[in-house]
Amino acid sequence: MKSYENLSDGELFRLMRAGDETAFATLYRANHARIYRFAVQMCGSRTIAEDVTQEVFLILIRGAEGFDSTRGPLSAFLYGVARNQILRRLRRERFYVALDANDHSQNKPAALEDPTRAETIESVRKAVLSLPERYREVVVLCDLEELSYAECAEILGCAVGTVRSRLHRGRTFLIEKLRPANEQTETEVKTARCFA
Amino acid sequence: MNCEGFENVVNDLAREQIMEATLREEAIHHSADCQRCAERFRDELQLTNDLRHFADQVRHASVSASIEASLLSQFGSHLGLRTIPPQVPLKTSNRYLFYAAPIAAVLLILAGLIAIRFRSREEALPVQTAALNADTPGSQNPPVNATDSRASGHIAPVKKLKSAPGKLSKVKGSRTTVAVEVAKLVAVNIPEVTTDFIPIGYSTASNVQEGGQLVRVELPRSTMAQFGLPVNMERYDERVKADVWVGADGLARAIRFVQ
Repeated sequence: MKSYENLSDGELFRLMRAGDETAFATLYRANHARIYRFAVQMCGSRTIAEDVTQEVFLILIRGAEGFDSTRGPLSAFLYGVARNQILRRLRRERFYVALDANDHSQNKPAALEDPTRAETIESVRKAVLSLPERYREVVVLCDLEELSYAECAEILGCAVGTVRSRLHRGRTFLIEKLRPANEQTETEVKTARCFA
Repeated sequence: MNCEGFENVVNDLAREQIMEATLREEAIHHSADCQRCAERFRDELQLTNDLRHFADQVRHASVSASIEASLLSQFGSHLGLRTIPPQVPLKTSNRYLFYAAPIAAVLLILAGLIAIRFRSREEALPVQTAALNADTPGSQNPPVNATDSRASGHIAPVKKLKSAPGKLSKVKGSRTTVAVEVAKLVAVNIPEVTTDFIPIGYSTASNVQEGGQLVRVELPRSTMAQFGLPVNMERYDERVKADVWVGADGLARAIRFVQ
């Protein structure tokens, strides 16, 4: 019997293309959580995140024509597909306002245990969601998903330097947003670097 | 290190990324000396901490199991619809099938045509042989017995032939065997009233078996009288149809009259 856990993503993908359902299930179980997390953190909605995750793996089932194992790992390809799907969904639904603001609440017992921490996390979540997309995706990938600059650059299809500068700018925005209101009026964040 | 240099590395420093040890030392020294950079570093550390808390909260989030089941069923149905991605050997086999299928179809059609042709030939042969070689030489009842016919002056009763083409009717009289079979060949669809074949000259059964052909002719009605048949004198000058059996040697062997 094959040990699917020991196979690389490229080998699993090849087996999946040949019709191996177990290979697909293994690929799904190895990758779906990170794609889902990325989608949740990018759009703040579990419903949309589930739709996006499903769509990403449906694209994988239908052949994933754009994937070339020599150019990078499958996870990077899946992140890229998810990113395109998320941006499409966000552009489509930018005119709508969610009625259920608690869609994001995922860990209520923990929040009840430590209200201050829960409040901080909620404010961070809102701050991340309020970032422009180009900064948000870098913050999510590098800070929340803890990917390297190179991996992030591969997913976004840009240079490592671009990733670094976007992350720097995104974090600066977050600090500004998370600073307490009274403190924010007193001291503006002034950096010595020009971000133009 | 100045403030600008510190700003370039503060992210990596706060996120605990791998960096040069000397650069890290310089940055920490600078943050200790510069109050603004120290505040900046503190903000960055706080943000990193908050983001990690946020990430921890979402870390164990997972898609519902129904999505996995749905995707697996989609995978199964997709497998049913699609063919395996064509590899090089599969392409050649497909090409082979592409050419082999029409060739096989043509061969089948040809085989069918040949079979039909053979079958029709086999059906036609017994009729001809029955007509031309009706009786074997050892047969007890020769088809034509000239002497008997001529001597006795017996005229076989006129028969009405209503045989369907291609079907053999049962031969009743031994004397009329050849006549009946040949008549069947002649009578296509229209039933004709004919006399029996009357031998001409000294024909024997062996002469008839040599083969020959049947020729439809028109003769003066008076000819019937020459063969001892009754002739209506009112229609004496009319012509009458007759079938003449011409042997392989070109000589007339038998005749019958057709009404």
